[in-house]
Amino acid sequence: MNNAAHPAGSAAAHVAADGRLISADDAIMRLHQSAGGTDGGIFAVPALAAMAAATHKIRMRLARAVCVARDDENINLWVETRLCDDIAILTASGWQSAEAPLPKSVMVHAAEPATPPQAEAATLLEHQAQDTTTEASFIRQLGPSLRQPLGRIVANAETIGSKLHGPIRDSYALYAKDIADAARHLMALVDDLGDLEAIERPGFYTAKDTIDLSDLVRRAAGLLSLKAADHNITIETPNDTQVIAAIAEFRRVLQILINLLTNAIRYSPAGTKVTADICVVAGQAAISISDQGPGIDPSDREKIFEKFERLGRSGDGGSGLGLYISRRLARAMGGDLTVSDAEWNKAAETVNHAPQDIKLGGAKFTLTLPIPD
Amino acid sequence: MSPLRRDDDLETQFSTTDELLNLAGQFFRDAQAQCSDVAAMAFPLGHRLPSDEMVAAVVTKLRFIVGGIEHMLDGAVSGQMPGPRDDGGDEIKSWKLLSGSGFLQEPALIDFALARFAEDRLAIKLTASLETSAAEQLPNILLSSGNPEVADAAQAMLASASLVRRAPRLLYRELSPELLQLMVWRIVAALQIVSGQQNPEHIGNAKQFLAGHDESQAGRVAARKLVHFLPIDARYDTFNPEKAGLAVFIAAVSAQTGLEYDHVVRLIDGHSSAPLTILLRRCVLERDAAMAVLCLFKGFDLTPYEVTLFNDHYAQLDEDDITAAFSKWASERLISLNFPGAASAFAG
Repeated sequence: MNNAAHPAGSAAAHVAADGRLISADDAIMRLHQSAGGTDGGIFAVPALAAMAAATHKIRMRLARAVCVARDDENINLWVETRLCDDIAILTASGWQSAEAPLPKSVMVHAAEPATPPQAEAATLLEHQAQDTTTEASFIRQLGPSLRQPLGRIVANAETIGSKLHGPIRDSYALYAKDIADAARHLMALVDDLGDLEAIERPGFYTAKDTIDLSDLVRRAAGLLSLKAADHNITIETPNDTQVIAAIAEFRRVLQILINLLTNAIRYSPAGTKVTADICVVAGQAAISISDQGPGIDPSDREKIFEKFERLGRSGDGGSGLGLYISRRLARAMGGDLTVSDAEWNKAAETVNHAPQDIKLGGAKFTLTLPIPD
Repeated sequence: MSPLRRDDDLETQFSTTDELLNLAGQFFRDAQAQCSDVAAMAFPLGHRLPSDEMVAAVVTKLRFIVGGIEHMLDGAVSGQMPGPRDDGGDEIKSWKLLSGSGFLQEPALIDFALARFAEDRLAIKLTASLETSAAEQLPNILLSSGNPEVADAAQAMLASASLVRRAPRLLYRELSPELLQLMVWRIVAALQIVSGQQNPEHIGNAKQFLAGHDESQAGRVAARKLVHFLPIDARYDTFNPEKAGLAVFIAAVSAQTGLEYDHVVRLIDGHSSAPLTILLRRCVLERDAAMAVLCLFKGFDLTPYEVTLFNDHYAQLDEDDITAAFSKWASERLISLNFPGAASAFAG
């Protein structure tokens, strides 16, 4: 718990390779002096000096929680270190008294709801807790029973496929990997069915938070950057200066964006790019995800939002539920999800990203959400 | 203990007939090695004999680590991401040399692999108990926290989990910096011996990677940071594994007990429920709440004796006794896992 004696922000210190404290902000200097250190002397706070020494020794950035003593008090700190010109730079933040008591009763399954200060988070958690307790349904009944054996199938198939218990023919190893992939697909399907059941339940509710769309897009893109890199696909996101607010549930919008970006990556050729844009259209905030894949035929543009509709595709890991769930979520939040042609023609520079033999068509999914009054 | 070594040898050594002497030379040590192998199996030091599943999982994790570092040394630095999922099936050039030399038997390394195995097991139990598909609600909510330290830590934690799940060979990024440095340079040296020549590219890539590595991006460190920056009053939900997710729950227990994250994971997944009981008591969980967590992670493994012990003594456990026990556990662990180059400051 922060108290008045602790700095609200962070405090820094510079430590030489021989362990001398070269300079320090007041808060760290006070720790140093409290531990018997002198000006320009060896850094006297054991835990911090050890981190500085380790930073010098292995020349890497460290980040650790440490406990230090000051006068009669123990203080918990979050310390990050880095090396610059052979000087270890320590930054200590999150100053808390180690004696600060936890709430007397940490009721994990308490009958009364907890009341943390972050009211919105509490409301959301409470709401979700109600979701789970009133739901005598598929996921509650079957979800765990399905996930556990599927998890074992994945683990065992991967063990076999990795030839951990000895050599097997390559074709058998590939079969094992197919089994693991199939089981993973089934697990994703179980998750989708859980979501499906939740959104189709009467009284399904989404929180009305004020959210920053640009930040959300970057988070979603960050989570999928590895997958995109695997496919040699670039995701372009709005820059930091673009800020558009919307009224929606953070978690649900993130879920929709991840679904749209995953689809874009899955169906785009290697070497292309996926672009996420944000704007305000007709009084609504909009996020559009455009890809350079084969595009979607106009006659299929409503069909793809239907339950289990795969447009004849199979074996690509999709369940046919993602877009259906996404549109339902968008509408539950007072917005919508639509698809159109991507507008690549005028952007000649985009061709640089794609191999020359690729025809740039592409689909553009637009998620609209209400904006704050 | 090393079926892989034997199988590899069988595969490669019978290719020609004039290598009989060479082959005999490789196997003559088996007579001595069997003494220690059999002794370890006959008189195990722990209460729990390592299962085949545990041994296989540790070998898998180590293969991910060594293979991942090799991949990085081969040029996957500068933000390049790995190719398709590496399940350890690729050839790992330094594996045979490293495993034969005993470098992979470093207790801190085995402990890391066992902690990840324990995490996998606990995650399966947690997933099986969840009643919705929305696991880890708390980290997702905290992504939008007003405190940038909390939001960044939540993001780093989720991104790291996603990264390792997607590409297990990036597991090496979760190693502590001390251990990571040790492993990287050992593998550079091993590759040099295997190839018979120094590879400046490997050395350059190793330096570049280590200089750019940031411990705060490791999943368990980010989880610990997230808990650190949560106001005390907002930590209610971190002690509920179903809401907080495994990583945040473990980090919360680690913060409250002062034990390392990996130490907590291994204690929870241990053979007995007693360590978990004491951990929960230190976290001031009420009896019913503690029993819920105990059932979640121990479930059918709880014996009537353990349940009786819990019922009769949980509330009576003395704070000072618990503090003394933790201090003893932590110091014994520090001694057993120490290795040349290990820093004296370990992450909490």
